Amino acid sequence: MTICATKIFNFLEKNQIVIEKHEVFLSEFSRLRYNLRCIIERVSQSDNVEAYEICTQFRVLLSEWLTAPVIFDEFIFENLRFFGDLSTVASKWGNDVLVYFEAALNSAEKLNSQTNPVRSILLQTIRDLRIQHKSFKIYCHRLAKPHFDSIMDPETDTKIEDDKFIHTAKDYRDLEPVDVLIKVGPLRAKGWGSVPDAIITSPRFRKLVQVVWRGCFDEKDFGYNPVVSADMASNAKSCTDGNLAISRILLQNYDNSKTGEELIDEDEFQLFSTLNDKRDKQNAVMIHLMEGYGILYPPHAQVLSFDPTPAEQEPLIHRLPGETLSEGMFIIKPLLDDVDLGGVQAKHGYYSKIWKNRLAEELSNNKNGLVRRLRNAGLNLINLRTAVYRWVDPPSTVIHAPQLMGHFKILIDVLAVDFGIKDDNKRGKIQGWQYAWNEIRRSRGEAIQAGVNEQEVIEEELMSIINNSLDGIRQKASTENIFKFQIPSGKSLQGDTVFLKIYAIETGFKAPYEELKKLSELSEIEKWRA
Amino acid sequence: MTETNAITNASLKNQTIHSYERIFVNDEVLFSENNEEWCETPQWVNYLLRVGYELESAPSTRRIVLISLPCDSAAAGLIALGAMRKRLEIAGANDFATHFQRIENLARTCDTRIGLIKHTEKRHKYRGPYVVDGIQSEGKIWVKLDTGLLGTRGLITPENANEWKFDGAPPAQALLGEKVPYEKFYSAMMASSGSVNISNLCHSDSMICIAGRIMGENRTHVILAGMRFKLNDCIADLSQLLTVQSWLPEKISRVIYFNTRVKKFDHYSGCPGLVIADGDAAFLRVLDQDGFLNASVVGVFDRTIDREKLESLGNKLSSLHQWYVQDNELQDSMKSTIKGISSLILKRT
Repeated sequence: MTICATKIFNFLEKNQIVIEKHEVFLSEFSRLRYNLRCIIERVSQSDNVEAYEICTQFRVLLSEWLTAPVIFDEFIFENLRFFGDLSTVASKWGNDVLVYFEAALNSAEKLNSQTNPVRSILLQTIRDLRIQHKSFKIYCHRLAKPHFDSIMDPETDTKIEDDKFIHTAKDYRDLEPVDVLIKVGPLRAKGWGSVPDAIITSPRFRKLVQVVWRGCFDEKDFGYNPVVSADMASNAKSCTDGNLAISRILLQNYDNSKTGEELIDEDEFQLFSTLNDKRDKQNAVMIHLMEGYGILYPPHAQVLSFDPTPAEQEPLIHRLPGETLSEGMFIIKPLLDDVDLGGVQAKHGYYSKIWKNRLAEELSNNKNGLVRRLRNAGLNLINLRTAVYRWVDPPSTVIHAPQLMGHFKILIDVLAVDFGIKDDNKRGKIQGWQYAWNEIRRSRGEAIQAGVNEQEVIEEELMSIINNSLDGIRQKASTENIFKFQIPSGKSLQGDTVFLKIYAIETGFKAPYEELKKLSELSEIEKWRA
Repeated sequence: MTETNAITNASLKNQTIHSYERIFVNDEVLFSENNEEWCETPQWVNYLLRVGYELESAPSTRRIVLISLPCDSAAAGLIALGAMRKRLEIAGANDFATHFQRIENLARTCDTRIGLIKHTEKRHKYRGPYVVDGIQSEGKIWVKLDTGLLGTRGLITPENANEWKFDGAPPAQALLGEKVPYEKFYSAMMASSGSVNISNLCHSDSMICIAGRIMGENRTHVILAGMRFKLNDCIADLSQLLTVQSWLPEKISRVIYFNTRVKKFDHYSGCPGLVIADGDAAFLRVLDQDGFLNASVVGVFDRTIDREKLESLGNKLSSLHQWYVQDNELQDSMKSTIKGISSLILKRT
């Protein structure tokens, strides 16, 4: 339900808006940032794709540290290891990069014994707000929520309630005014940790508590309002800017290290915007689905979708993301029977149960050893430990698994999974892990490999089949966020279609063509933020 | 150990709070949004009604107006209502004079896709639809039944044209009690500026157009219907007060509806003079639409939308500056003192 406009206008009329900015400095963290920046600057000068991948991984790491209240623990050190061991770094990238990498590892190790000052500020802020019975919300990326959850001391504080978090522009749009909004990181409209310009142009809070690391700056044009900008550009004598007034307070929270003045913190977000990917990429819109998944589409893609609103006269049509396709509707992904799933074993989740059981067994026996073995085998994901725990989740409509086929094969090899299929059987050279991979692809709706024209024909046929079952689909859509619709027998198409509810739609992505229209985990999609 | 240094950097702008003129002179008109309690009409509602009224009061040159709001709202409907209210004051502000001309144009082009209905005809099978069947002489149009009943023809002249309406459209004139209801609401609104010309309530008008949300007519209707006004025992919602044909059927229509999703008007009508576009996408689409090239366009958007959409609007405004200049005079007269509303008014050079 949309919030009453009158409430918003009354709120703006009666309140003076304040931005309380806490600028934080910690010398060891600054050293770590400096060394990583130096690595990125040097590696990015290489002309190969791997260099860009490495820069992207460092970008993801730094972006997370700068926009979320991370714990300074051994994972800071461990996460850097995706770059490789010291000898590999030296031989691949040269001695100067090695020096920076060693210094970065050294800083990461030292940070292990220090408290992240961002966490201290947030802890105190939330405790104060609770004592004062003030309403508050935290604006953060969905993936950053666990870091906020971990701030509170479980012995003395109650957990931060889930409804205190907002993650998207839509969440902000639907927000009733609160006393305080909390945000970690600079105010930026694009990229990692971005927030809507409306935070400045349409405040839904009395006070914004913003915690930023020194050197991270708000975007110069953040709080963009085309009416006011155009007004100024035209050099007009009158400028109507909505009459909003905002007071700003800056609080500096620096450690007492003498090296503070020697270290210059630069804006990593500015640096990231200068990195060039050698691959062709195009603008994309992310459809954020329930259960931590998303799909990137070209901005003007025609997406087959279902609107469950009872009064909707055309519930099943192709829609434009962000225009006619909106939150609350369902994306329809066909899972048609054109992928070889190994005959009788084609039942959904058959193979995944085998490898997931094996993974669960290995995790309970030797968690740290498994992560190390996967890394050594070449599975260089930053948050590998977290990812492994997600892959072990039992198969639902979507099978949680590595995003790339190469990574999946490493996982299966390291686990030494036996799918019970012999190489010399009738299925020729296809191996067990390939059937398991096909099963994963199918669950992600990647089954259709046909050309554009053929796909249009298939979707037309699919629409006519689904249109005959709208009542049942509406009923399911009212209670479930993801559900399957089985195509009745005797039709020209065989298989299922999966309906995926849209949680939010976000612009500001750039991705290679092959990454579009694929169901991916949100953490994977994040690296394509422009 | 931490070192804390506080720097206060309050940049406050001059704040002059003006009290808005009372739009509804009758104190008994109450307001409710989304089924909240009845209250006095809020200032932001009054302001937007006045914007519509003022814009329609100065129609001499084409204007592009963009109004930025801090949240989603029925603002486009309010501006349309203000403009419609202004039209109700003006003698002859209706389609009466042009109705026969449009039938004549239809006959000249021999366009048989648009039917005509004899809405005063009591016998159902003779109501139509009819299609044009030729021009006998200047001022006399022959039509024939489209249903295939042989020998059934009709003659339309300037004198009887108002007995005929375009298929799917409201009657040009209320002959059978299709008069616009809610007269009291219109009279209570802006009454200090000018009174309603009662004759207009009996005639359809197509000069004001509301271009609905890109999401479709239903979404637009729901938002507008959520805003209600109450006068004594009578309650009317914004969608009804606008008299858009499909939201208030069987009545005279004073505002036409443009469906931006399918790019179609709700009925066959003349070209509007003022279009109020609901949302950023509707605004951009209307500006590129052939049928609106001479109409003034008001775009109303909620600035909590994504940056890319905000930039699309900004880019469009930049490109318009080639042919338009800021209308400082009107901008000053309509300057908002409502916190959260900002606007830009451009006029063709």
